[in-house]
Amino acid sequence: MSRPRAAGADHPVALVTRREVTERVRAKSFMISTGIYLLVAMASVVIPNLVGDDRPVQTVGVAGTGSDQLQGAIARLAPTLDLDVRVRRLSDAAEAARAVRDETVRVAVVDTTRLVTRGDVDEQLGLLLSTAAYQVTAAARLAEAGVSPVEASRLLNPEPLAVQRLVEPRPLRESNRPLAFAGVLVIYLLLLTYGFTVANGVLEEKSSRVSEIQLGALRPSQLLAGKVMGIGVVAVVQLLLIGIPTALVALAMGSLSIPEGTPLTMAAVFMWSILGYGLYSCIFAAAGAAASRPEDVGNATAPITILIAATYFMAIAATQDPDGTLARVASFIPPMTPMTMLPRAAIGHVEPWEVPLAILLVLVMTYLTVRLGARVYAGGMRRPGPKLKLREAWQAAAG
Amino acid sequence: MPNEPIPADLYPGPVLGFCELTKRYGSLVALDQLTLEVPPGRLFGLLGPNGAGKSTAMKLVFGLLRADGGEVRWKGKAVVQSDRLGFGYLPEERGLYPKMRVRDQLVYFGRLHGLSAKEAASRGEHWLERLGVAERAKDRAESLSLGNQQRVQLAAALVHDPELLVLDEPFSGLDPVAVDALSAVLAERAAAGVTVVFSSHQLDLVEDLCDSVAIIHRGRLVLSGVVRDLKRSSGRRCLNVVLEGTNGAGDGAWAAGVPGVTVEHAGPEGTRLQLEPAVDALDVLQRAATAGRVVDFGLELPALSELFREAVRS
Repeated sequence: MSRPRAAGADHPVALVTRREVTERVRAKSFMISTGIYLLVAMASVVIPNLVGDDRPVQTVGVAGTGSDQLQGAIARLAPTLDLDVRVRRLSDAAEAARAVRDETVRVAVVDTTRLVTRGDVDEQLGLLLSTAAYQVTAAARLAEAGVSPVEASRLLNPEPLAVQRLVEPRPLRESNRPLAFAGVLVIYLLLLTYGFTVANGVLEEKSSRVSEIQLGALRPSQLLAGKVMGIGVVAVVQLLLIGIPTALVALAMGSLSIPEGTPLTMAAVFMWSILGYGLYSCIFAAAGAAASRPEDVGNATAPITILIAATYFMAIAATQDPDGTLARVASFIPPMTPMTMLPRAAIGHVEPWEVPLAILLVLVMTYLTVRLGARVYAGGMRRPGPKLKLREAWQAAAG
Repeated sequence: MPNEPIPADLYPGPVLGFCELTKRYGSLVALDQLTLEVPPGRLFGLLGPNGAGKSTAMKLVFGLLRADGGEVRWKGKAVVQSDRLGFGYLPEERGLYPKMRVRDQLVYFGRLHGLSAKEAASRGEHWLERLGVAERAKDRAESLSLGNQQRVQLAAALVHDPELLVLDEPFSGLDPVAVDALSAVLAERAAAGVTVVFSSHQLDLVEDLCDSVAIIHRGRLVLSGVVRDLKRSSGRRCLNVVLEGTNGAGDGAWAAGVPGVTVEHAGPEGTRLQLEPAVDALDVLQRAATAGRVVDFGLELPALSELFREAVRS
């Protein structure tokens, strides 16, 4: 007795998804937000390249006796302390004092015995200059005492201690840190932005009653599935529109020092973005369906947004200490996994079983949130009018 | 071909049935075992005061609410999701995607109801043309006037050529020209065999347009049937009398004491009386003649609005 769909008709979920994608990608707001994100991403790649090496050059004055030897000692020792120091020769103590006062030099050493400065001396720089001065005066004394220059040099530059390692060190992959940091930020922004897009989209359909025309023709779960998948596709499109040009520019800028883990880390960002969206989107949809006005959406989603923000801070901490206990524990709590497992795996050390297990846990959790979200959604869509308590929406879907 | 669906207009007996339908919102009973049958291929008016349960009954047809008891039947069986692909719905609060182009929306709604993309496009175009909004096809819905949005909404209910049209207050907010245009479309659909159920407060309009009506009150059916039969079977008639020199007679005082007569309305333009079934209208006219010269009179069946008031009052 029922009416069949025409032979050429599409599956309703596919129709809802397609409508969602075309309408959203066409919207001006999508173009604008993509443009802004793209600019920010480009700037974060280009600006560090323009600024270049951020290690400052420090100019130091030398005057009086021992200046030649001191200059040589400073030049030899500076690289070992990771300092970039330029030495300027000054004629006497008076000129040294003037140069320090005029700030043409940062500090000046006079007669290898006196340090002239305007205020406090940078700790590293002070260490460099006192070591250099000590070597110069010590070498002079040793020469006076008849020690040969070769012997004196050996005495003043002892061999570093031989290290005996009992445990093999596991250095962090520092080069992946900036990308992991950016990846955490991307997932965080994506979850919030697209989570709210889902919640508001659902509320808009519910409050404009446009859902009523559709729910005659398809089930609430189909409308929900189409909505969530459609917005998910839009999120991926935006991620690619921002990520691909940024990656190309980074390559073109001749950042030859692209760390070897980059493609893998980018793939991980992509994967965790999608898993995270899947995990949270149906909960956002349920919040939208239970609301009746845009203001309600903020209240209904507050617990989720707080959880996401807390996870973000935990993930930032994980980029600093990826092998720490906090990061390890958080990465196995499914709602926190997408943001915290990323820096752990990219910078720190994970056992081969850890990432697959975390993915499995996230998928199990996603199954639960989809079931819960779909039920509350269906209940909310059947109860237009004032906003619903979670329990009411749940009950409205029963029976 | 025993499995061939029977077209609605050839279906023997009522096509749409509400069977002991009950719906509660908390402690409020919106529908109280409502039982009602709608014949096929007719214009059927669903009437009732605000809060009577009209919109609730309509939403139950589309599964937008869950009934607490009873069921909605289509051609004798409980309505299932696939039946609804052949139903068209105009919700009371209009719903379109504000930023979506008019034509795209119709294609989308048509396809959701099982049409192919090509079919949906051509039928959408047809209905926009028929309803006089074809030139707005490429505009976003939000840029249209409310009246035009309503036409698009109606096109969305019609695009998939439904066998059953359920329209919640389709005439509200329309100007008289638009009311006529919509009436013509609905009459044409009914003539084509479509079962058209609509709710309205404009009882004069319903009277002109509908073959059959049902009046529901507090979630229950209080009156239903073919409009003409309902009027006749009520046994009531209305007598309009205009006396010359209304001074002292315009208040209808002359009729006040006549047994079986109720003064419904009295004024300078005349007196309208309700006559009980046993009352002879000529006797009443003679009584009027003693109060003044009768310059005009008319006897008619009660208006639908009078039946409505009486049904709702009792």
